[in-house]
This record gives sequence, C-alpha cells and structure tokens, in this order.
Amino acid sequence: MSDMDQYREIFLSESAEFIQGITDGLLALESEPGDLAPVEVIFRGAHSLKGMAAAMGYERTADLTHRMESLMARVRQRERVVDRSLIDIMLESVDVVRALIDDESSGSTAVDSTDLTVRLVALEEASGDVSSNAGTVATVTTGTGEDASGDTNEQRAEGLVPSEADIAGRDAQARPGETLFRVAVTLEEGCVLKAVRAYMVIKRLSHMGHVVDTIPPGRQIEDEQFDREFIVLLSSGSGGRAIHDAVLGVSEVEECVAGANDEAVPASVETELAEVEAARKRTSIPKLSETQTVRIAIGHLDMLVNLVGELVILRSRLERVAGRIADTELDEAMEQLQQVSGDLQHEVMQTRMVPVGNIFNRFPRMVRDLAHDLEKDITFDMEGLDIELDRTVLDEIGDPIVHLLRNSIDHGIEPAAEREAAGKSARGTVRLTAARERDRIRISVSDDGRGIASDRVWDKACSLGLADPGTRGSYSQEDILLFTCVPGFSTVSQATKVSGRGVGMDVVKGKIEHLGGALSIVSRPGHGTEFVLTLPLTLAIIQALLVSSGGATYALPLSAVDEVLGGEDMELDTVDGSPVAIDREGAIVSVHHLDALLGYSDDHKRLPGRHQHLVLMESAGQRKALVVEDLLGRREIVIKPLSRMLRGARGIGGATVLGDGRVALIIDQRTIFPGREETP
Amino acid sequence: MINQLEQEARSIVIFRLGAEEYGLAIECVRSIIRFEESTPVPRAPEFVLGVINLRGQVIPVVDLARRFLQGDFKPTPTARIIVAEGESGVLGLAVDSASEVVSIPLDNIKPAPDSVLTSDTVDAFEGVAEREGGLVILIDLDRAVPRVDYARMAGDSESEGGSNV
Repeated sequence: MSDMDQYREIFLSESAEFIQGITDGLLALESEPGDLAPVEVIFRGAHSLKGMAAAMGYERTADLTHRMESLMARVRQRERVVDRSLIDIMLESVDVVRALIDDESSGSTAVDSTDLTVRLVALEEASGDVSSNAGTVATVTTGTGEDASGDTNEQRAEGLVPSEADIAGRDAQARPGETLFRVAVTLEEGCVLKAVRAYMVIKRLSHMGHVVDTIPPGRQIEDEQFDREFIVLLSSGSGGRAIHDAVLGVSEVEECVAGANDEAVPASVETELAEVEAARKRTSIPKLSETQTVRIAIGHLDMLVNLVGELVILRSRLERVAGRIADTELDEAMEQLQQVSGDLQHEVMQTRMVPVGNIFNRFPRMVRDLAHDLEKDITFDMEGLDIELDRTVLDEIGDPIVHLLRNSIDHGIEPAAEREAAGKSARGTVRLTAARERDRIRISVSDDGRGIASDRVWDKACSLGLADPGTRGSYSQEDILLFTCVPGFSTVSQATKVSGRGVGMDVVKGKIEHLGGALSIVSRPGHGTEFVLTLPLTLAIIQALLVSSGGATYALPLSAVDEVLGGEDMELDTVDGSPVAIDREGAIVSVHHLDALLGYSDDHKRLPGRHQHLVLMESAGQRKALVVEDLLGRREIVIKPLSRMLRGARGIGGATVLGDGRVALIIDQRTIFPGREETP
Repeated sequence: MINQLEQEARSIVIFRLGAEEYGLAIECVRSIIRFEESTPVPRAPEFVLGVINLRGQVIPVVDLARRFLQGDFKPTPTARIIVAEGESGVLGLAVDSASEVVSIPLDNIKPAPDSVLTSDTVDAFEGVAEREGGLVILIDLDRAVPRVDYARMAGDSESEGGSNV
C-alpha cells in the first residue's frame, strides 16, 4: 500500500465521520431551528472537510465544502435564518460531497457540482440582503432611536448573544439611511504586515461609509495587538456584498464576513473567540475521541477471533488430556488457562462489538427525506443506540431495517387527514429501538399507523393457495401476518415507488433467519404495526448441547433448547400413529427422531426407547421434541462454515471442531424439522 | 537448454486410485495428509465422503473413486487425502496413495484416448502422459469435482419425498 493509498484510507474514514456529524447537525437544526448549537458543528465539519480535501488534492470537494462553510458562516453570524431551503440545500450538498469524494478518490471526474455551487453562492449572497433589508434574523440597529441595549438584554436571555456586555455596540449607530455593518476580517496565516493590511482594509471601508468603531480599538490594531481577526463597525449605504468584495481586494486577507450589525458586538475579539471555543467544546467534539480509540483493519480483528477460536479448541483438547493424567499441578494450571483464555475470548469478542448507533445514525436522514417525498409528517424516534452487536451481524441488518422503516412510513403511517379523521394526531410516529434480551438483541421498528388487516392478508394467502380457507383456526394472528413475507406476496394492489408491502419482506425475513435471528410482526388495525427482529449477539462462538445419534456427534445451539428429558420422564402417546410427547404444561409436542430427520433412518413413527433422550426445542415459534441417543454435555463451540459444496444442506447450520479434533455438525433448529405441510 | 526444458514441463502430483495412476497439477495442491475418517454430512452430494478438520478449517473430502471407478473408496494403510484448492474452495481428495511429484514435459502430455473416457468423465481429464511405460491420467480439479447446485439438489430430493441420497 503506497503512502497516498494510506492517506486516502484515513481521509475516507475521517471524512465519513465529518459527513455524519454535519448530517446529524442539520437534522438537529431542522427539528429545533431556535437552537443554533449544531451550527458550530456543521460549520467546523465543513471547514475540516475543506482542509482535508484540499490536502488530498480533491479540488471539487474542497470547493464545495468551502461554499458550505461560507453559507454556514452566515448562519453562525446570524445573518441567515435557518429555514427549509437552507437545510435542503445543505443536505443536498452533503450528498454531493459524498459523491464527489467517491469520485475524486477513485480518480474519476464524473460528478459535477457546478450547479449546486452556484445555488449555494446565490443563497449565501441573498442572506446578506435579507438581513440588511428587513431584519429577518433579528432587529437591525438602524438609527430609529430604539434602545439597542434593550435588544441586547432580550437576546442575551435567549442565549444568543455573548454574555459580556458590549460597550462599543451601545452607542454604535448607523447614520440615517445607512445600515450598520459588522465587518469581520481574517488575515491570512503568516501575514507579516498585519497592521498595514488592517490599515488598508479600514481605509477602503472608510471610502464606503463611516467607520464607527473597530475591535480591537484603532490603537491596538496599529500596534498589531490582535491575532488574525479584527472587526470593523461600518455605517454604509452600500450592500454587504460590495463591502465584502472591497475588503477581499486587499491582499493577504483570508476571509471577510460583512453583515448588518443586528446584535450587540462583543467587547473584544477575545471574548468572541472564547465563546466560539466554548461552543466548539460543547458541541463539536465527536464522541469517538472522548474515549481512547484506535483504528484497526477488520482483517486483523477477524484473524484474532479465529485464533481465539483455535485456542478454545486447543484448551478443550488439553482438558481431556489433563483429565486422563489427573495431576494436581496440571489441573491448577489448566484452571488458570481456562480463566485467562476465557477473559481473552471475552475481550476479543468485545472488540468486534459495535454500537448499533453506527448504522442507525444514517436513518434519521433517510426517514426525513422519505417523509418529505411522501408528504407525511413524521416524528422519528430512536432508542438504544449504544446497544452493541457483533459487527458481522450489524453489517447485515442495515438493509432489512431500511426496508422495514420504508414500509412503516409508506404504508403504515396514514396521510394527515386520514389520521385526524381517525382521531389520531396528524403527525405520525415511527420508532426504531434496540434492546438486549439475554444473549439476543431485539430490534423493533414500530409505527402508530393504520396497521395490517389480517383478514385481508388471510384472504390473499388463500387466493394465492398458501393456506386452506378452512384452516384459519389453526393459525395465530402472528402466523397470518407472516404470510406477508412469502415471496411475491403483497396486499397493496398499487405498489408505490417506495415499497409495496410484501415486496422484499421475504428478503428481510430470509436475511434475518440467515443470521440466526427471527422476525415477528405484531399489528393492531388502526393502532399500528411493530416488526421485531431478534438477533444473536454474536455469530462466531455459541453455547451448544452436544448429543449423539447413530454414532455421530451433533451440536444443538443451546439458545434453541428449552428442556431435556430422560427416557423415564417422558410422557408419550401417539396421534395417527405418530409419536407425540406431553410436556410439563400438558401441551402435545410432535416427536422427531434426529437420525430420521437427517435421512439415516426411514422409521419416523417408532416410539422413543427408554434409553433415549428427548430434547424440547423451539423451532419457528413451535415446540418440537427431538429424540437423540445420548447427551454428551454442554460446550462452547466455534462455528465453522461448511464448504460451498455443502452449503444449503437442510437442517445443518455449520460445523464445529470438537476437543478430540473430530468435526461435529451443528443442527439448525429452524430448518431441521419438517414444515407444516410435511408433518408426518 | 536445460532451463528451457524445465520451463516446458509441468510438475504433477501422482496418486493412485484402484489400478490407475492419476496426476494433479501441483499448483492446486496444498498438502497431502494421512487419510482420516471424515464426518458424514446428511444428504450431501454422493461423491462427498464427509468433512474433516484441517487445522481448524472444516473441509469436505471428495471420493473420486465413485466418480471414476464407480465404486466406493476403501481406505488402506497407504491412503491419503490430497488437500487441493479449486473453484469451489479448499477440499480433500481421498486417494489410495500419493507419494511422488514428477516433472512431465509438455510434449509428453496427449489428449486422453477414448478407451479411458466415459461420458461421465470426459470433462474431468486434461489428458494423459506416458511415464515409465505406464499412463498417467491428468485430472482437471474443477471439472473432476462437479460444482453442485446443492440447494437445488436438496430441493429435488425433497420433492421426491425426502428419498435417501
């Protein structure tokens, strides 16, 4: 990997963080336009992106982020209100920046941002006019005789104005017919003759109007007692743009922000800078840097997990040997090894755990855009962002969640009028929550929309031949709703451009089950729908019950095992000649022989023998009893994938290596049992 | 001159299966291990003996005897598993013995004569080479081990009423 490639990787991952920060900031700003705290984050984010992109030589990215920064500078100086058009164009810019980065980092020139740049500049210039004309932002202190300090107090109460009282601003008033401008000038870094440049700026400005005051005062400017920034209060009849251009005409001026002085000016640049600094500390420090982190290539982590897996296998081999030798010292060492390798395993698995927030954070933007497109008013809540999930699982669930969110927004939430007619609030709510339940994660996507009419689903299922109309009684409400996950099923006659209910639900269900999870749907017509995904915390290492059948050893995931019964405890009966067991609650459970399920025996209907064992398992929401020869104990096993050649073997979820080096197959409780239609 | 000769030869791992000698290009061979019993996989394709643990990796073992000799593989004390890597990943080939790597000049490699071909194996052989008076059949790993659409196979057997493969 060349140096440049390395820099690029760093750039790509860091820029993604800034882009996320900007997006989050914009969405926060949109929901609370009065709270300008996020503006700082957005501004800084654009500024950092600009610098990074310039360093990489990505000129188009640097240019666009520069425009974004300038526009946000206006907002920051309260020369531009936060409105829909601002948020829209900024979000659009974020998208284009992302595309530009992809484009430029791959050496391509396909993305053109000229049009967007033009619109950004137009909006930026318009903002200057807005504030100088009508005072959209706040009261403009034109010479009307109004008490300027009164405004200051009012604004201070809102927390909009730096707390230091401002003396210069109090008597600073524009001459009649003119506007008082606050011209903030930043000189270039490394500017040698600061006083001279500042003098030239002030001189130029004095040609355009009356220089009321400067911060710091004139004497300090002459003595170069300022860093790179100074402010000129100018009463002028010219427009903000003209002032801006005039100042930038002076060489070694890096930046000039000229706006109507609609607020009290802080006592000194220092105060203002301190304020900015404080704001930055408050809002813009990314969460990541609060804890010490390093970036590690995923490959290294995967390798670590594999090695730990090997270690676990070796340890169980050693345990067997130690058991044979029966030496106290060896046993002690083994115990410690057990402890240490257990801790190591835990820590390594922790490194793979990633907060779900990492993928959830892109959803608010998506929900917002979708809601706007569909002209729906939606509150989007997220909860449990810090719940951690194995990275491999997390990577896979993004798309299914997107699909469920789309479903809820498109089909779940009714149009406002329909909601009001039904006595609900016009604004719909969509919630995405993550919570931990024992060794599983529960992710729920719910809405307070119209719900799914199970009667319609049932009729559709019958018309498609998926169910027999006479058998409705044997289906639970939830079972019926799961018909929506059958490929090609859709109760919406007109599929919209976003999603037809049912289109892709089969994919969602398939994906979740592939990950060892389950999907369930709960719906109350008129009240809403909830999709629940239950997922394993991790994929690589699981607890398993080892059993034998037909001389071979198999591993049953312990999470699927409810109860284990010896031959003596079984209460057996037959229904239609097929064996059934009666469980503790008195329910009838169908009995399946593992060897028969695996195709090693044709005799499905024999009764389990006294020496055999029954394992009660949960499969697709139903209880099943599995007959095995022997129980070999509970183990922690490392899941190994089966060769491509063997993948898809029904009932087999993978393989694991036992302590003696032999391979045992892992039974997949979801596919091992025959489906409803095949029940013997 | 010698260099040129070497360039025009191929290194071949020679193994024995039944009465025949076969060869596999060394590029696709990873290692040769002593034969070990594998764990059978229910409803696996018939030419798969089962799976074994190769230093933590679970790999399938393919029974070439079934494919080439229409008989079952019967392990002997000299039996080996050739660990090879092909399009369908890492796999083992169960063979009666494997002990030699030879260099066979390209000139000596000829198309397989019809006498050794059946319609089943016509694709599996790259050609034959003469060696010490005998014939070595060179196999094409990816074709000798047919790629199976396992999901479809399983589906088929299911629709036939779960017949035992």
